[in-house]
Amino acid sequence: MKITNVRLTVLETDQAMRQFELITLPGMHRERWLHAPDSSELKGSDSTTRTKHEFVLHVDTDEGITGHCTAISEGVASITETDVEQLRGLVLGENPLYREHLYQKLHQGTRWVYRVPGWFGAFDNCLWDIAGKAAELPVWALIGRVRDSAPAYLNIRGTTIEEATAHAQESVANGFTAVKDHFYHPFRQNIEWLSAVRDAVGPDIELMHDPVAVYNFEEALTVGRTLEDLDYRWFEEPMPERSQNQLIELAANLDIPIMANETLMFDVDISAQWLISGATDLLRFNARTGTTAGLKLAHMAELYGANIEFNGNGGLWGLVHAHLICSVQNTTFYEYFPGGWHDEVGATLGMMNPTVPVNGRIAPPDAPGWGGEWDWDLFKKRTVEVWE
Amino acid sequence: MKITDVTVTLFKWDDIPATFYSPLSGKIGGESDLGLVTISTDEGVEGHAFLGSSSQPGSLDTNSLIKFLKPILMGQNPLDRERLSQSLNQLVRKAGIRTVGACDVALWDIGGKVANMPIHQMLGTYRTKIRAYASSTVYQQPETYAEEAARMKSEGWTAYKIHPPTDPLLDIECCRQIREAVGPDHTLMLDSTWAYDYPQAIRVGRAIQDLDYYWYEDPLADDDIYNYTKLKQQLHIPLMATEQSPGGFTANTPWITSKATDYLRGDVAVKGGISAIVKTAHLAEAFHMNYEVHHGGNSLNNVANLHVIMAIKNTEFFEVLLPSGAQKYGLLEDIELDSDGNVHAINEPGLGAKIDFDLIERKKIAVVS
Repeated sequence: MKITNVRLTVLETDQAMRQFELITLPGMHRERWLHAPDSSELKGSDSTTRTKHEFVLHVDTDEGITGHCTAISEGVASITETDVEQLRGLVLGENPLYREHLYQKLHQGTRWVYRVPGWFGAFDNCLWDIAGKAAELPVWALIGRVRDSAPAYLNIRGTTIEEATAHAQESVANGFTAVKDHFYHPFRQNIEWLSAVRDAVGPDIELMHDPVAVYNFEEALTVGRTLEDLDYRWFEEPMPERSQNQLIELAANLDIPIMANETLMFDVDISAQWLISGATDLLRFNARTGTTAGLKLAHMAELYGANIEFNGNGGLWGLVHAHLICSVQNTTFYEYFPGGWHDEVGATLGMMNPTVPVNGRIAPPDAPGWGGEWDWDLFKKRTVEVWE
Repeated sequence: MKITDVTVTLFKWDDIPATFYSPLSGKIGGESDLGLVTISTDEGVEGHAFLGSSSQPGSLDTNSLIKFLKPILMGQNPLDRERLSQSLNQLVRKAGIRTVGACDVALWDIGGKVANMPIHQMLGTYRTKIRAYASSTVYQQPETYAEEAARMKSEGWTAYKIHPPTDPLLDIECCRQIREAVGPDHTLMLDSTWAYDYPQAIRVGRAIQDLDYYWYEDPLADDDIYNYTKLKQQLHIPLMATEQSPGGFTANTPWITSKATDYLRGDVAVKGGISAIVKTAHLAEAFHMNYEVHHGGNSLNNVANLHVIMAIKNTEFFEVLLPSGAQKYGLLEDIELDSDGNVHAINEPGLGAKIDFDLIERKKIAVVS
């Protein structure tokens, strides 16, 4: 089998392109810039001039099989037409089933094509789609499944403590056994909110805290001890990665697992080094960096006695992470964002079976490859540009 | 898809040439037996593995496999490999590691057959061929090694590993004569089979690094992480441990973090199958280390090893343990060297090896189920 083309489709969503305003938060010990709450993605199209784009990469072969995967969501990261041209130049004529060869070539060669690590992740995911279709097996069967389904956690929201706790309770009522917050208030206020959420959901629900790196060391230590008392499961991104030395100290001082490598998770080698150096207890990973890289990191973490936790939908509006979470032993949850813009949006763009938790659980489809069910007419309707 | 049966067909292996690998395995020769492990499914696909070797009859492990591991597999979806592999590994204390390895290999064989792909392609192919090295038996005379190494070089082999008599001074003399016989450019390795104490290991290690040996394998006891760490600080020749280190593949990480070895090592038989060695190779890769695959003890295990080697970057050789008569049995076509000293990927679905079912039928001792 040979790769004959690498193409990219630009799709137009109904969602306004996010434009963030930055504000300083009162009551912090020092000045911190955060994005203003009223530009959060739940708010829809108020302040922008155009809608958001999504990108789907296609890898064609001479045997008529095409692999598909989303490539980056605009506003999260970027893929350019030159990236696709560069990729095409490197992989045309290669056998798409030689995934490890292509991974090593593109990974080791990343420095020499002046790209960021993981830049070819969507391409790698397309190769897995091709392999599954060639084998007429779902990707989970190629890797070897470890579980049929997995629990999801829901990211709660709320501008008041009442809204946040109500959202947590509503999530539990809808079948979720785990919820996570993104509270980034001043740390004493956060402690109140965190306690209120625990009170609201009771002792049996898994809770995770993600303050999006707003704390300094002392605040993180205090909040971390509170989280231990409140029986939270993990403490995500307590400080920015530039505080690596302090994260090592924090992880050594707290029993609650720290998950610290979010903004550098696109670099699996550095992520592995963070685990080794003790700067993180859990590894964060998003399969937009590529499934091959993710499995390597997962295997390394397993033998290191650590979990890898998958961030967001990972590609194809949740399908990629659904397969991986059910094929990797040392992981726990699918991350679900309510509001539809991470997962359900896929169905408005032509992939009719995005991953949406049912009773708080997700499962990968059994169809070949990633198992996307495409409505290509709808897909064409939403297409605004094609790079081929 | 469901697993409907697990059986072990024991078959005789006669006429094994008299062979000596180490005092640990004793004298080999004459008779042994292998077990053809068969995992059957409701869709007619069968997965296979061989259990046992010339020095370790499959019959010794067969009852453990049937008693402890078969119940885990029965009725399960064979494509849920990771779940089954985790469960099999939970019972390693009872069933032993070789049985776990055989079941895991047979599950991958099913996976590949269902996918209609060779296992290296399921994993994602990296290469289609690799250098092989010949791995000696134990001789008492340096000249015997030297002659064999020179002869094999002339036959096209590009690398030779010696299993020495394990008397340090004699071992050094063997290594010296071999180097003299093959010249400065031939790749040579020493595998001392856990024979030395620290002072002996230092003495031999210094000698063979001066002789430009490529790696120094298992000089110290397999659990002696403390002295391996000391040894590695003293020698610049790459040190190889972990083939038989206690705790298995899940306990390899401390060997890396203690800086006790320069490679990780194992094979499907001693580590619990393809799943285990792929994971460990990925662990090694994160530390920019190689995973060098040990021979598998029987022909079908060697095939399984070969698939993994074709799907990982961080490995350099395929090991061929001598003599053929004590290692190759039960396949219609075994893995053979090409004229450049390489062995090649097998490209049929699953393990892709042609099992000699007629031979197995002729030599059948019993079917255990």
